[in-house]
Amino acid sequence: MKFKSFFCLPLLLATIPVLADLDQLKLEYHGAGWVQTGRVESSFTPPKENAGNAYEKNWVGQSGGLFAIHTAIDEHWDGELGLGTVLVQLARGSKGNSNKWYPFWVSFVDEARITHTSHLFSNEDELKVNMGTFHYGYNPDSKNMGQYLVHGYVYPGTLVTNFTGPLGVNQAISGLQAAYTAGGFKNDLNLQLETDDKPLYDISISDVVGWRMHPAFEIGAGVNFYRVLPTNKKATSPGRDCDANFLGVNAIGATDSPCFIIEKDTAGVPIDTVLASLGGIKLMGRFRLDPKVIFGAGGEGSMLGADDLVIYGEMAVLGVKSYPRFYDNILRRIPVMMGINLPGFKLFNWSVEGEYYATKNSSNNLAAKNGSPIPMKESDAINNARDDWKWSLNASKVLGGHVALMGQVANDHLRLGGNHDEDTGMEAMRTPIDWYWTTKIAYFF
Amino acid sequence: MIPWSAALLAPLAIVFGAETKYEIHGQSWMDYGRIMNAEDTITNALSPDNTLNYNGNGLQSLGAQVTVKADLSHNLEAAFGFGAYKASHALGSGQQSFMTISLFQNFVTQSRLTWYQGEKVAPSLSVTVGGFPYSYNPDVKNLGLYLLRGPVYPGILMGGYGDFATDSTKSTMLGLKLHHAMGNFSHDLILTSERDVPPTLDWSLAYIAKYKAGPLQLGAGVNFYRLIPYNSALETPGKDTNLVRGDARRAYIEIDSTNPSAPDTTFFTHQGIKVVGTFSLDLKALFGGSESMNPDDLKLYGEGGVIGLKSYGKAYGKIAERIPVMVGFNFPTFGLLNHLSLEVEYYGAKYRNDLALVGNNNVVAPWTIQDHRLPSPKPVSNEDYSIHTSGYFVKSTNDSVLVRGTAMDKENVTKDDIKWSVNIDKVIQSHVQFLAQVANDHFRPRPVASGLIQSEGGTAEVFASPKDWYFMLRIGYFF
Repeated sequence: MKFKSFFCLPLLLATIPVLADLDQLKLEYHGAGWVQTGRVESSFTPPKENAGNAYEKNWVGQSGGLFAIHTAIDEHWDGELGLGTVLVQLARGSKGNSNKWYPFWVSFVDEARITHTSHLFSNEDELKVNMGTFHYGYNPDSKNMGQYLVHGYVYPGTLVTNFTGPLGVNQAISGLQAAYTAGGFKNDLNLQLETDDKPLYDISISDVVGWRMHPAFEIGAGVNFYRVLPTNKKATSPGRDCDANFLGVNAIGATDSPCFIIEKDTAGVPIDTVLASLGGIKLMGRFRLDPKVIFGAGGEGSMLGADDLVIYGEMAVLGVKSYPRFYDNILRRIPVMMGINLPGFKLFNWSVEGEYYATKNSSNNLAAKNGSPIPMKESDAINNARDDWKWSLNASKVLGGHVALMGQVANDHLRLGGNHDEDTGMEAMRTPIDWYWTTKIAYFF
Repeated sequence: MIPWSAALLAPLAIVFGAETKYEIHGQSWMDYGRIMNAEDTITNALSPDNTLNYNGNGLQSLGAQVTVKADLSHNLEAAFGFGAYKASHALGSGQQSFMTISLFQNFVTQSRLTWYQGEKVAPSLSVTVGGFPYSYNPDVKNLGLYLLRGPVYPGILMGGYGDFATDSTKSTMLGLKLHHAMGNFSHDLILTSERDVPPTLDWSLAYIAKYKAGPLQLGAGVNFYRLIPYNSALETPGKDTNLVRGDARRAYIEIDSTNPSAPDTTFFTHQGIKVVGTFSLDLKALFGGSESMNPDDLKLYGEGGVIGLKSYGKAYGKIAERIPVMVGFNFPTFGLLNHLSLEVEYYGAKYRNDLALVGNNNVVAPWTIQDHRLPSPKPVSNEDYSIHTSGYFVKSTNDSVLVRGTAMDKENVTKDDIKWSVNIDKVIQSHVQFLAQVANDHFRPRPVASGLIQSEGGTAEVFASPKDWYFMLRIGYFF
C-alpha cells in the first residue's frame, strides 16, 4: 500500500455527506502520518569481523501512515483495528556496504483487538478483557527506557528501547489480557504470545500490579513467567541432546557453545556442562512521584504542566535463577532506570532518563534470536563494561491538537539490525561517548 | 488498484449528487492454532535435511480490513476496500524455525461497480465489474467450492483455514458477473481472470444456476477453465519444443511406449472443463421448524463435481478419480452457537495434492528464491521428490524410508482421500466473532525459510494421512 494511497481514504472520508451508523455502532476514525529522521553521530566501530555494521554518521529515518477505527459495539464490547504502512530504509552500515540500499514499503496491522468491559465486585471497579493484538505498557511515564517486564530476552538479559510506536504509543502485544482497576489499584494479567523474538509462539504469563497510594505517589510491581509454555520445548530450552545444527545459523556466535554453558575453572579448563533456557522469570518494581502535589504547586492555575517534575523509576530482575559463569551474579541481572519530566511550563514536554545495567555479557541478542541462551562471544576489543550507563533526552510538543513534534537524543539500546550482507543483534551505542539523535513530525486525528 | 478505485468513487459521488450514501465496513482478527500431526515430511528441497517436518508447528496471524460501499444511485453501487494480514514462514523444524520471517501481505477486499435492475437486495438483473467476492455455495465453511477454486489439470483441491473463497468479505473474482433471477430460479455468468494459479491472466467462463423449492435448493454449474488463454503456448507447453526441451519435457508430456515403433505422446494442458452440482436441504421444514434454532441449524448441504471432463493420459485416465464429493451438516445448537458444522469430503485422485509443478509457492517474502519452472499440467510424481522406483526415499542421514503406500507417497496416494472439517462459530452482539476449526483439509502451510533469501515447501497440502489434523482459533470483530 503506497503512502499516497493512505491519504486517499481519509480525504474520501472527509467528504462523506451521509454516514450510516451501522446498527447504531459508534465508529471513531483516527489516523496519523509521520516523517522521522535522525543520525547516529557517534557509534563504536566494531572489530574487523563485524566491519559491515559500522553505523557512525549513518542517517536513519522512516515515514509512514496509519489509519484506525475504534468501534463501540455496546456498553460492554468495543473493538479497534489499525492499518498502516511505513517506508523502511536499512541502515547503511559501513561505506563498503552503503551501495546496497533499497527502501521498501512495509504494511502492518497496528491493532486488531476486541475488549469486553464489565464490573467485577462493584460499580466502582472495572475489568477489561482485551483479546487479540493491542498496545500495552505498564509504565505510562516511560519515554524510551524501562518496560523491562514485557520486552527483551531473559537469558541473555538483553534490553530493548525505542518500543514506542509512531506517536509514542506503546508497542502491541498479542494474546489475552485481563486489566482490573479499582480506585488507585490496578492489576494486569497477561497471556502473551511471542510473535517478535524467536522461537516464535511461546506463551508468557505476566502479572503487573500498580497502586496509587496517594495522588503524589504510585508504586508498581510485576512478574513475568517468560516462555512458560513453549511451542517447542527443545527450541526454548536446549537439552542435553542439543545439536548446534538444530539451532539457527547465527547461534554459533554464542560463547564456547550455543547449546550449553561450559563452566570453567580458574585455569580456564572446562569442568562442567550446564543446561540453560531462553525461558525464565522476570521481576519488576517501579515508582512514580509527583512532588507538585506534595507542595501544592500543581493544578489548573499553575504554570507547571500536569506531568512536569514527575520523577519515575523502574528496576527489574532479568532471570531469578542463576546459572554459572554468565548468569552467576544476580546483581548483574538488575537494570535500573530513573527519569524526570523537566518543567516545560505548559509550552512543551521534555524529560531525561538514565539507566544502569551492570551485565558483563554482550548486549548482542543475535544468538538468542537463533535459539541460544548463551551470550554472544565478542572480540577482545569490545569492553562490555563501557555500556553500563545509558541516557535519553526526549522532547515533544503538540500544536493545534493535531500536529506533533518530537525529538530524542540518546545513548540507548538502539539496534539497527545489520546490513544487507550481515545480520546482527549488536547495539549501535557501545561506549559512553556514543550517541544519536532523531526527530519526528506527525499529523494525527 | 486502490488509488484508481478511490479516484473513481469521488467524482461519481459528485456526478450522482450529494445524496450518495457510504457504508464503511471493517474487520479485524487474530488467529492462533497448531498442526498437531502431519505425517508427510518428504520434500525435494535443497536443504541438507531434505525433509520438512510440520508436526507441532504453531500457526499465528492477525489482520484487518476496511471496505467502503457507496450507493451511487438507486441502481448503481460501488465498493472498494483493502486490508493486510500477517503471513509467516512455517516453522518447520530445527534451524528452519529460527529463520522464519513474518510480513504483512496486502489484499483488496473489493474493487467493483455494480449496476442493478430492481431492488439491490434481490435484483432481477445485475452486472458487476471489477474485483468482487463470490460463492455459489454459501453453506460451505471449508470444503467444497470446486467449480471456482483450483486448477483442472492437475485437479488440485484448494482450501483450508483462512481461504478467501469462504470469506464473503474478500474478493476472489476479478472480471465480470452477470446475475439474473426469476422467482425461485437464479443464475450467474462469470468471466474471471486467473490470479492465483500459474499461468496467470487466463480468462475462465463459468455458469452457475440455482433453483429453490421450499427447503430444498439445487444448483449446477460449469466452468470453462482458461477458455481464453493469455498465451496459448503456455496452456500446453509440451507441444512447443522451444519452451521445453530435452529431458525437461517429461514434466509436460507422457509417452506410452507400449508399441515401441509407434510411441503415443500425450500432451497435458491447463485448460479443461469443470462441472458441479450442489444441494442444500433445510431439515427444519421437515420437523415443522423451530424458533429456538438458528436459521442455518439442521441444514444438510453438499456438492459434487467433475474436475476435468476429458480423460487422457495415465494421470487423468479415470474420471472416477476426478470426482470430489462433499457433504456437510449444521448441527442444532439451540442458540448457543451460530454454527456447529461437520463437513466430510471424498476425492479419489491418486496423486499428491501439490502445486509444485504448477507454481504458486505461497511465498511470504517476495525476495525469497524458489525454483520456478514453467507451469506444468502434470501432477507431481515420485521422481520429482527423489523417491526411488522401489518406493524408498533416502534421507540426508542415509536412512531409507518406505514411501509407497504411506502418507508420503506422491503417485498412489489413497490415505488422503477422506477429508473432514469441524467448524464452530459464535457471534456476540452481532459484531464480535469467535471461531474454531478442527480439520484434516487442504491447508497448505507457507514455505519454510531455509536461508536468508531461500525457502522451500509451501506447495503441498500438509495433511496426507487420516491421523493428520490441526486446529485454529480466531478472535475478531466486524462491522
